[in-house]
Amino acid sequence: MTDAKGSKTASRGPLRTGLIAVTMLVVTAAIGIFLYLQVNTLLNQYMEVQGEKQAETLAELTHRQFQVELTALYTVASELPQIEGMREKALRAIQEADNSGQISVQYVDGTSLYGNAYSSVDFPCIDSAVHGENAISYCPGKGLMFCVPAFRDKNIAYVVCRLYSEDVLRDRFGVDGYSGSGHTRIEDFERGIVVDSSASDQVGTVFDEPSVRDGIDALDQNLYDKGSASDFRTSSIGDIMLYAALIEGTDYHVVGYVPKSVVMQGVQGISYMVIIVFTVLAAMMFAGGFLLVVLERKSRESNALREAARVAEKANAAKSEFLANMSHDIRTPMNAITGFTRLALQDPTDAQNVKDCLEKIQSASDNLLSQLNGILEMSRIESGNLDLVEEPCFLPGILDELRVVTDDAAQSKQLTVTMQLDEVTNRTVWCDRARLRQMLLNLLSNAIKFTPEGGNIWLGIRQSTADSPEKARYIMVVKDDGIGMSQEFAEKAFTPFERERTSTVSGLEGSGLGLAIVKNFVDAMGGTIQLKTDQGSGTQVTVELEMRFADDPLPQQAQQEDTAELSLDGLRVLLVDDIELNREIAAAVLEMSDFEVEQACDGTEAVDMVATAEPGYYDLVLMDIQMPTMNGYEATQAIRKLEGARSRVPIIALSANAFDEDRKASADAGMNAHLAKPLDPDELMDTLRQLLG
Amino acid sequence: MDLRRRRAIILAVVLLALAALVAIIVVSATPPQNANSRTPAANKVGMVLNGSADDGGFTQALHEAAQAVCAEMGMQFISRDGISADDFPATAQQLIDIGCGMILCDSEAFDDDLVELAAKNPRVRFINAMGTVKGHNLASCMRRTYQARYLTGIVAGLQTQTNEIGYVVSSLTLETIRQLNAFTLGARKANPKATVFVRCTNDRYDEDAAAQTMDALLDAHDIDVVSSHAVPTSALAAADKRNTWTIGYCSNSETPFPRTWLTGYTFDWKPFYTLRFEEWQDNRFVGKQYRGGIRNGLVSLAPLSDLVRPGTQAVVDAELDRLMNGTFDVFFGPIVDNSKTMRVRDGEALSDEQILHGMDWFVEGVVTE
Repeated sequence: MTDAKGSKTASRGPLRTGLIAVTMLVVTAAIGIFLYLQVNTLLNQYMEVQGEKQAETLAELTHRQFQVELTALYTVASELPQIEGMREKALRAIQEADNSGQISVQYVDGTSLYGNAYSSVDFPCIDSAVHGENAISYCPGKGLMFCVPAFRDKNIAYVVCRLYSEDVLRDRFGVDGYSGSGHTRIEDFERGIVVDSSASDQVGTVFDEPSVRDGIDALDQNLYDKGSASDFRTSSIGDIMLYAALIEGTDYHVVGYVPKSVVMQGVQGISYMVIIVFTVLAAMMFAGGFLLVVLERKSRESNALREAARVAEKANAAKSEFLANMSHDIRTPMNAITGFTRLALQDPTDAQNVKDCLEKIQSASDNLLSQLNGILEMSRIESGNLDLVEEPCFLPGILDELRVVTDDAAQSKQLTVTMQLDEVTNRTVWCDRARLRQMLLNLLSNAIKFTPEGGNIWLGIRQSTADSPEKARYIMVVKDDGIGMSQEFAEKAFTPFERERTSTVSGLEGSGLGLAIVKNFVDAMGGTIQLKTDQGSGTQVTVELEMRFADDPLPQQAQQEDTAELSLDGLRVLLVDDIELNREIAAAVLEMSDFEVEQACDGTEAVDMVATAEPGYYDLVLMDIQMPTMNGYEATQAIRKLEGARSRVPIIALSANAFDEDRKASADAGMNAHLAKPLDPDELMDTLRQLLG
Repeated sequence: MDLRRRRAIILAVVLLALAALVAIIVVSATPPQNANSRTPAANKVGMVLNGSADDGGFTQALHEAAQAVCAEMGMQFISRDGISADDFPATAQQLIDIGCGMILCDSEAFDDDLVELAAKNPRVRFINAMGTVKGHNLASCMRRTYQARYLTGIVAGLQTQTNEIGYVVSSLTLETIRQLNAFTLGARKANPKATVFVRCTNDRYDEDAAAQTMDALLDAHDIDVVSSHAVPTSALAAADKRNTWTIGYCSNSETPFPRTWLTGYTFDWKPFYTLRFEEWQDNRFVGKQYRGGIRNGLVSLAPLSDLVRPGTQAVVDAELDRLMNGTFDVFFGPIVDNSKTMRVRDGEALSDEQILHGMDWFVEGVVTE
């Protein structure tokens, strides 16, 4: 079955795919950009943390250096009081050991014991040492001094100092960091630079640039929170990273800078790598997505094909099966016809035998005809040509007809058939009469077929309210107490060509189309159908149709058994058919009904004969449709163009086709009615009564 | 159907992966910690005092200075006084909770709790005007009040004619002994024959006890100059009533006892607090032990009254110079204690450690009663 939606998605597919692809591209690109920025930010943060750590390390280094210095001095100081006599010599030795700093010893009152005497105003560390604590002071212009107290017992006897003058500070205590790429100073907030950096030799150092100065100020302000700080800034030499850290035990801190490229070495590669990986992944994702879409479409197509193939195969198999069965079913009556014909011909003089044979032949032909009709109907349904022709239907009338048709079959099996209308207040409805009748007939036939001798069949039509006041719901139930169906079969009862057991086995004939046709009618009329069955206890089919009310027909038209037989004796009929056999059969039928028959063998001749005859000479024309030279429609149109009353002669189409379009075409051509071949005299009579009565 | 489900699954997986990627990025994207974004220091200052803000002494000086500096720098100032050591943590936390970024204290009694409090509130700064603890955000200050005391001792030594000087304290603690010793050293420097008689009231706040002790002391000796420490002014008032010269703490240039007042020692915390507040606002606050004394003006000698003997000013000025230029401090040797033991030899100095924690002896010239 073709997927009605399939065709729609097929046309929207490329557009939708394109839209999705573009959206994904944009989203991926956005994510990519965001990722890149994020990675950069994270790397920067990481670098800053590293910078802080580096600063901390440098500060720690300086601290250690200071501690070493103080410890060395302290060692000297602790010995001094004990070696009174050896003092000078010892101190001189120490001085010579490291000449970069000036050793001096002074009393608590500031007088010198060895070396220079310094004022605690210049070097507050002296004051601290006098009171018993190691200390360091820087005096701009004079240098950096380390002081320690020399204890005798618990009291301070002297103060031992080492002063490093300005010019040696850089060499003695300078730290730079980053293997020399960094430039670091040791600063005091109040007194400025204590130990300058290696960049001090350069003219116009980076430290003095305003933006750098601002950066350092900003760093300083964050220094006390964490003990260290770092930040990226731009300078004349490019992007640099500033860093600073407090030096423990002093009022000093290190502060320095290093080019960003130095710290980013190797790390820059990470961000590139991330981008590359991301791009590759994104590309893979796209390729994968694209592949998915393509594969999906292919699979969908193959699915559709496979489905179609399956359906076709199934239909084919069903059809093959049907053909197999059908050929048997057709052959059976055909065999009967040929057989009984031969039998009759064997001894044509035996009237009784011949009569028996002919009756059997007639029955077999009816059977064959109904099978063929059913098949044709089915094929029309499948090809979708099902137009309903609505006309007022008098329900009781339909029931009467059904009674007539089913009477013989029912009686031969001694079945009790009950038909009734239940609470039906509107007995005439708009509906496709022929189809309604066919539907009910099919159901009744099935019931009759599948109910064994002595069984019961009910047909009831009940009226119930519908949404609109002009309509009603008609619930039609056909019930039997026959053999019923197995649940398994009941499920596919409405499928064309399905039959419970093939007729060979059960001896029950049927094309398997009856219920399928019924269902199609019901669907076409917008109704519902329900099947309830139990194997062994019978079947009930309920059809619900919503139909509009129509006016009840005038009594005389309703009563078909009524009236005197219309006097049709002596009516002259012009019979038109190109096939001689057909003409013979039809003529025979007509003559039996006391018509006078004239024959024409094609349209041209018919028109001719009507034209040349007197007006009213012909009471009726029975016109075949399919004829060479001029067909029935054309002939009718020609006749209608004749002058006078001739043109108004009743023309009835007589055709092998009796489908709606054929009827319509006949009506369009100007014909008064349309009958199907083979000619049924009763039907002809009805039609004539309607036309002429 | 099978394939459609598969496609749905793959789509779901892809979307999930995408969502996960985005989530990872978003989550790992901690807002860039701008190393330079600093939280502005609060400008609310809280003060918790063990003493009372109107004790006419040390605590009052502290309180007034903090108040004045806050007013000058446009900061809100909230204080609580008379808080016992037990109540201190809760009171201080209250002030922190209402937004104080700086907590000032006045007592060693708070030292232990301060350490804990400072650790718990790393964004708050603490300064204890007395005490010795320090931490990252906790500073304390050691005052060399004894330097001023020494100078008052000089004045007392020059003033006395009976060579008997009276001194009333609440009890003999390291703090009071230190001041007493400095005073005596000064007195003996100016007048080697002077003796300082010391009595305790055993109650820091009892005014009657202070007056009574002073009266008893004066009754017992021929004292013509007195000073006191850690007792209400009623002690000096009692001496003043008996026309004994008085020396003590004064918080302003007003002379508490016009008839007998010689001089006193004062504090000026304003410069200290100003510096610390500036550092705090600049986020340069360092939690260390600050030292303040004569040299940086934290402690000073009040102006000498007209009652002092002629020549006193010159001597005082000379001693002041020595203190100022660092060639001399009060506890430089030689110092002999009142049991004739040499405590600090000539040319030596007493360490701060000893001065603060080790002085449980009296210098020569002190007579405790």
